Amino acid sequence: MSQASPGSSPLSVPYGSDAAADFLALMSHELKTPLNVVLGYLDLLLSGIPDPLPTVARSQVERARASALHLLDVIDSLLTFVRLQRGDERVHVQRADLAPVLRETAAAVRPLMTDTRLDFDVRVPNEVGPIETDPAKVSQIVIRLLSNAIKFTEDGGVILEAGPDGEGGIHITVSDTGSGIEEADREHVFEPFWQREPGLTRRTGGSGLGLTVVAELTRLLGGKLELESEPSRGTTFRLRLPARAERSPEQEAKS
Amino acid sequence: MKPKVILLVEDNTDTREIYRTILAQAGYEVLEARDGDEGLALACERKPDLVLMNISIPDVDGWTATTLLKQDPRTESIPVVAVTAFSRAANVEKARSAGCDGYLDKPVGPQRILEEVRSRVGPASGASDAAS
Repeated sequence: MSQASPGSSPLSVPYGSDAAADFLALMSHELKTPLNVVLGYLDLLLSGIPDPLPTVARSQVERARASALHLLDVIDSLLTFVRLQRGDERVHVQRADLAPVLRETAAAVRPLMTDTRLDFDVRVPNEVGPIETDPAKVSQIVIRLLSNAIKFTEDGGVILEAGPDGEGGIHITVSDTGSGIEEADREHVFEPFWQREPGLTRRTGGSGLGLTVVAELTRLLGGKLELESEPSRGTTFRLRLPARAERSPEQEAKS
Repeated sequence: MKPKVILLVEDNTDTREIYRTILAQAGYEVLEARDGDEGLALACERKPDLVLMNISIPDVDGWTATTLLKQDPRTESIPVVAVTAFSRAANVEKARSAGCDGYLDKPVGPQRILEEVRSRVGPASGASDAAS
């Protein structure tokens, strides 16, 4: 029979251990699998299977899907944040045209916009790049920027643009006509856990990790992130990515 | 004309049902396997037109199952599309070396599955074959 030794708590497994990494991978699977099942059945209903939905039910199911997508985004932010903190997030550089990546990302985010009065304008040319970068991470960054923009925009809309940055790299720009960010808040938005409105009485939700993850992933890709904002007029995030991101040491070793 | 046959190798009952429902609705015949061994046996016996292979399945994992399918002359020509929950660029490399013909990162909604199947094998019962 095994017994916990009196001196050491089983809770003292070090944060940086392999066991903690395995646990994170497992949690990622345990959290996402049921959520994907929820999203899958909602998508079937929205596809009119087994029967087309009545109009009111359709908009309710669309809202349920938007909430489920939001939850997926929170889980992704949280898990990415923990991996970044542990230094487990690896960059897998490949030569890629980002146009299809951006279009797919925009399509994935579109259902978050349940308010049909808002515009979502995707201005992505036929080719963006190609550059050497990690397309999955670019997609993660753009998902966070777009979902943030949608969250804070009540009138007008959101625009996704991309193209060459004039220095051999590319730019990806997400702008909105939302509530904007007060000057005093701008230096805080990338800090982990920071909330524009603290407490549970706030108007808009959020984990306080989304933009931290965006900033850190941008750094890993050797990029730059600029923020322009005017309160009650809107916010623009401009991501610049270099023609070549640096490979992580283990990818370098393999090639 | 006989409908095209799709083999789903997926351990999650709900995910299997979601994919089966959309594919059956579109007219495909859907075979289901809950693990790698079952998937390999069904692939040999029924020679499906396409295999959708979840990577994290019990016993023989999806990478190994794909490698085995691609090494067997009876099944080597069947296209295999890997579906994985782990969104890592490294998986693209793994998928290639296992011999997968395509690769999808979860979340993969039912519409995305249907599009992928259509683009690879064509409509459920048409003579046209997009893969050839």
